[in-house]
Amino acid sequence: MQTLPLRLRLLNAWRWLREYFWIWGFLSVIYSLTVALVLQPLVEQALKRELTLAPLWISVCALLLIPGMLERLPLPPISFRFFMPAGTFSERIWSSLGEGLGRLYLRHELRRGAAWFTIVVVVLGGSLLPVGYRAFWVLLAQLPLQRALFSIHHWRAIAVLHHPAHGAMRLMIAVTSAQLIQLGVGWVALGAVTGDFGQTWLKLGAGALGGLLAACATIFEGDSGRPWLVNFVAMTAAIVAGFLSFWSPWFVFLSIYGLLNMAGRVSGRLRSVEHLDEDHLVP
Amino acid sequence: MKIISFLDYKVGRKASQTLLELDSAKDGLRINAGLNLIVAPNGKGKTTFLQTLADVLPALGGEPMADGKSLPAGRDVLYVSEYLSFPKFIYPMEWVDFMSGSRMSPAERERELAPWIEGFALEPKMGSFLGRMSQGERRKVTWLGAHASKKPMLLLDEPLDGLDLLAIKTARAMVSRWKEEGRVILVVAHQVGELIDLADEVWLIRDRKLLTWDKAIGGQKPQAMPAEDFRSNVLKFYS
Repeated sequence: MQTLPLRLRLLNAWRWLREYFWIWGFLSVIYSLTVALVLQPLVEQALKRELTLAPLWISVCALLLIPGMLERLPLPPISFRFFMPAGTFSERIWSSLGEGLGRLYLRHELRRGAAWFTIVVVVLGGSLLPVGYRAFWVLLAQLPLQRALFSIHHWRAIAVLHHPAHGAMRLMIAVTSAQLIQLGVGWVALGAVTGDFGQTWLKLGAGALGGLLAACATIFEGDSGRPWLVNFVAMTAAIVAGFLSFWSPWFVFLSIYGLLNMAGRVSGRLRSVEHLDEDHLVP
Repeated sequence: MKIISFLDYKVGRKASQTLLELDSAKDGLRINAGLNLIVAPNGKGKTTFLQTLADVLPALGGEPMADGKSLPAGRDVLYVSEYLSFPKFIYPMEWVDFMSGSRMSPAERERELAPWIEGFALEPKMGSFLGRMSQGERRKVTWLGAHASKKPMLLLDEPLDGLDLLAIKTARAMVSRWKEEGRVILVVAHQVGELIDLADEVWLIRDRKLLTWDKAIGGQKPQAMPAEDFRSNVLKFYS
């Protein structure tokens, strides 16, 4: 395939910047600063020293590029046929679930090599955390959702074309279901790897769950689910709800309420989908 | 569903830029069951019209009616976009099920789709993920999805793009079947020569109105015309 000459590529990049820089730049500064501000006291508490905001802010921006890289990893699909009955991930479980978008999303997500590789990263990362810092697994457990958010805009285009009326709610339910499965697998694997199925493990599960549900409620935020922007918004929700749920598991119910409330309100959000007029292959 | 009519229906992407204004009471405009081809230059609102009918875009005003009642787009309308957006790790038959909204058993599916899969020469590809298929093959899968859907109104945007000659033959046979089933089929296509002889009506757009061939050009029926004459008539109309 012929590549564009350098002059045209530069011109394209310049015009892209001119078109979007101010609005996206402004929003990303606000959202990323919010993440850093929410995270700062927690990190200070853990490290037992004061931190300046600027390095933390830059670290947050850089760290949230990692899920984007994971999402783009060209890993082959996973086949479960070696240890599960044929058709488990293509027919048996999902064909009994409700409508089509949820089934489609789950099938695709759970076949992806990148999805399972991310779970491995979450489990290994959690097992390497020093005992005093285990609570930060609540944040690490958000990595699969943060990864998935980097392609949510493609799914929104699919949802609006095929289910314009209820696609937003269905997509939110689909993403949440897929993430709950991944969190469940990661959480059990963490217990197995660390050999700890005690109180801390239970609290980590509650924290990660509360954070995940709150973050799933924000998948249409951040300039309508734009990658990176939506990641900041979801991370903010996950930090607040995650640590509250870690502190007291009752807060999980608040996250559940928030998610259900949001699911009932998002029906109009697909209307703001831009770029319908493009071919996409969702990674 | 036999007749689509419009109640002061306005179509456009922005309120300040209405592309089409359709009112059956004023214009006598009715879209009947069968194949309806829309032929118009770029930017006249063909795709916007289909997307609005399918409820992908909100109407700027009014509403479409099916047999005198409000058109339930979610239940009765299938819109097939010109653009091919697919998840990478999905099998063709899974996409067909999703797109059509059908929950056919494998046996039903086999009976219903096998001849068309053969016609599109897709048998060797049915075990491949969509991400590993060519654009033309993915287009064929969307035709299967449209066929598997039992919705009475099909809106197809440039459905022939990327299809080879053999696939076009199969697609024509599929359209004939839909006509026999009494479905309302609206097709936007620039290569109308491939479908013109099957068309029950050809629509043109001028001054924000949808016009029948008779009203816009008149004379000989387009279905009976040589393709070259059809093209020159359309060109003359839009020049």
